[in-house]
Amino acid sequence: MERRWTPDELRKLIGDPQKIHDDLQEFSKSAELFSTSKYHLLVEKYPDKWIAVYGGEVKAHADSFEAVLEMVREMDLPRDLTMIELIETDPITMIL
Amino acid sequence: MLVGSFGKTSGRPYIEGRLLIPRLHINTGIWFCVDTGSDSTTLMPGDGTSIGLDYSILNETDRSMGISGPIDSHKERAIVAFGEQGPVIHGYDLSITIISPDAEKPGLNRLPSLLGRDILNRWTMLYSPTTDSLTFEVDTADVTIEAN
Repeated sequence: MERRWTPDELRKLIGDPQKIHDDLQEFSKSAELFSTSKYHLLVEKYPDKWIAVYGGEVKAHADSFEAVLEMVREMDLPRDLTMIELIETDPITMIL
Repeated sequence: MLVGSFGKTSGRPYIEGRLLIPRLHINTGIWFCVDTGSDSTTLMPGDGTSIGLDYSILNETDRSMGISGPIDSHKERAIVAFGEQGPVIHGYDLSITIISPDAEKPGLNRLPSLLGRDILNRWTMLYSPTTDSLTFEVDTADVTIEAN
């Protein structure tokens, strides 16, 4: 069993809290597109496509996960702030 | 108070967090599905691949049990951080589960990463889809940092 990090060690590992907060805010802008109240807009525009969202905007779309990931690489989008999701017109039931 | 949301057509509960894996120099946003049935916070293959995770350098392979039976996984020491107004950051020191990609199961890429009870047990959750409200009061954290 590894020793747990102390609060001071955690502070150092987390780094600048303002930067973490800003990154979370930026990421939330993208996540908001997938909220249940707005998701139908994505379904209308990108049915059954994989999309990449950064900064609250759809930056790329493709028929497969691999293809949209390649586009994200080519566009040099920041991977830590980019969401890749499938827009399902006929969602499968997930049992998680 | 942390604020989540209900997502996609199914209205699954989600919250944004920041995942740090210091050993692997990973520091990334993750859109976690809130899952009180999951013992462990879990990074799924879609998110792992999206962030460029090198699966070949993960800790030794473990086994996890999902609805489809046992599956290859790894454990990695991580910090998961969440933000609330202030701004205030709450950080959790834990061993997350990382599910390996499987070429024979491309559907794994569709699964959301999971926020498990290793963190949820430390929050009080208000879950109310009828009022479109998903909030969390932080009862405990391993570190709480105020930005200012």
